[in-house]
Amino acid sequence: MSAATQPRQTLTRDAWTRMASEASPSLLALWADTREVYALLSDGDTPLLVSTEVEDGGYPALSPARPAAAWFERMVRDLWGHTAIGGTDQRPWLNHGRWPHSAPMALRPGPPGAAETPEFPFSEELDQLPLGPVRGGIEPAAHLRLGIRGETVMRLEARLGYTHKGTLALMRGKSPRAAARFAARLAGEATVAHSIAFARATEAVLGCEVPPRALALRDVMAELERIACHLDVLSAMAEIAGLEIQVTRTAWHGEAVRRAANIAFGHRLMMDCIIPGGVAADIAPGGGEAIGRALSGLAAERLHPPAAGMAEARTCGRIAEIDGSVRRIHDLLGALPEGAVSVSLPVASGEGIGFAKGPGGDIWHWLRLDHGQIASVFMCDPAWVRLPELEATVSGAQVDDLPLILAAFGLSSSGADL
Amino acid sequence: MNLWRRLARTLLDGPVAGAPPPADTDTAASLASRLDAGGQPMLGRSLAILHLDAGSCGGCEIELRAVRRAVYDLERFGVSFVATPRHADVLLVTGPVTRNLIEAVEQAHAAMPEPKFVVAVGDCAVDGGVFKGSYAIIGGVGTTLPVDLLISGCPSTPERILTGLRALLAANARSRRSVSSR
Repeated sequence: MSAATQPRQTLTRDAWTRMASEASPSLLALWADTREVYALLSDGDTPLLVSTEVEDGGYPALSPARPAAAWFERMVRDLWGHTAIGGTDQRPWLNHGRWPHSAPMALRPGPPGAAETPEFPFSEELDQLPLGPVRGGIEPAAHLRLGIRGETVMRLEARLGYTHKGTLALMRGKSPRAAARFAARLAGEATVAHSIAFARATEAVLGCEVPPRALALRDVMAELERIACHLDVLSAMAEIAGLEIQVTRTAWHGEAVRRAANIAFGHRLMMDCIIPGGVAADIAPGGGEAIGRALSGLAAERLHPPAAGMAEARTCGRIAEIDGSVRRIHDLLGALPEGAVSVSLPVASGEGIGFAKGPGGDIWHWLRLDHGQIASVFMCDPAWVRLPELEATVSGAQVDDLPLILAAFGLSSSGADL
Repeated sequence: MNLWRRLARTLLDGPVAGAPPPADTDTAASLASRLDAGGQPMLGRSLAILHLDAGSCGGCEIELRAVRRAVYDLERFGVSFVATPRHADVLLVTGPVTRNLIEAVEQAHAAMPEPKFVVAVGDCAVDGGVFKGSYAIIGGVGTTLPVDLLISGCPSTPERILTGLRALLAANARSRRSVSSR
């Protein structure tokens, strides 16, 4: 899917209501600023961005026709205070009643809310098993509420917002170069992909041409991140399955990739290596060889999915992507264009969308610049899609299998917590 | 044939785990003196760690997993990760401590048996990192708990984490010797 080239359509209230009542095109993301609500819709190959003015603090909800909108609507109300009229779920989401203000991104933030215990709409017949936010192990903070009958998980509902850091508010009023540090820290496992999406959104606004060498180096970093992330998930699954040799093999290759990234780009996770307008620095001398050595070891390894069933299909996808990424890096490094690695950014106003395919799925960034400063921004992480998918697929699984299923999903909460 | 080649390679190549980094002696000395001064009973030569994500982006967790697995292999030093604060000697915090997680951080710390250490891993846990000044965070573990060891970096590299935790172990061992020689 390519980044949006169509300009944003401002819908009247009636047109928005009509769009809201239909299930297609499907929703990719929903967010707001102080005046408007924005919806990014998947319309074939090019996404479609529509918006409508917020009237009397509300807008017609999308969640009755598009269930995926419910989490976004709760987030919009918690951050900007706009109510989704007719929304299917009005419970708070990011705001746990512990911030100094409610609706911290609104023009006039409200008084702090009361800290309340979240409610889970489970039927009386199910036993409830709470997990988290502190779950032991090296896990992201999230609360998972299981509705179980005997040993079988009947329902799972996630409660997020624990890792909300106010990232969007911190980015406002900053230049894209300064704000890129926040985009790189939305979700650590996809720092490169988020940086690329953010850079592309900025470049779409400013209309700047990124040098071909920078584009190739960005692709190399994105593929290295994909390999490292997939190997991390494979190691985690093998750990749970008790396959010690496979844990060691995958962890060793993952470490080799991280070290090669450190040699080539100066950071193991390649954080802040991508900036709007290009990349922060050229590949270090000997970096290409270091990457080549790490990948040749990986290419010789035969990776197997450590579990059967639902987790297996997911893992086979990851293994296939590792193969593809190894080949792609080889091709890119073999024909690296010469030239500069960044351009300076003009000062301008406007809005733009950037897309990147992260290790966990599609990433969308949208931003509006006002004379070179960020007036409004939203970053959509694949966690918005992955977690509801987890909720839907987990029912019927055994409680004992849950750690393996969670590992196969590569659960991450920071991306959706903002 | 293949099997013989693999056997030969295994015998010749040696272990995957890297050489252990030295423990930082200055840090170890100051930690040991803190333990002695508190007159705390010794923990033995092992440490049980509870990891707590207090709003991390997930970057520090990637490096923590690397520390635990092959190459860095933390468990060979007697350090292991546990799943509950009741079993933990060390609370290892990542992330800038979001307001939504303060309660969880404090409850986990309160549930740990004495003596207990608090270790902040990563710039966020040290002082809030890039998120300093946000309405949603309190900025560093030190604002709510007494911190014994700060391991900086965004994220902290596995070497740094390993060096820091080895200093904690060395302090532990030294304190134990000084107690038993009395």
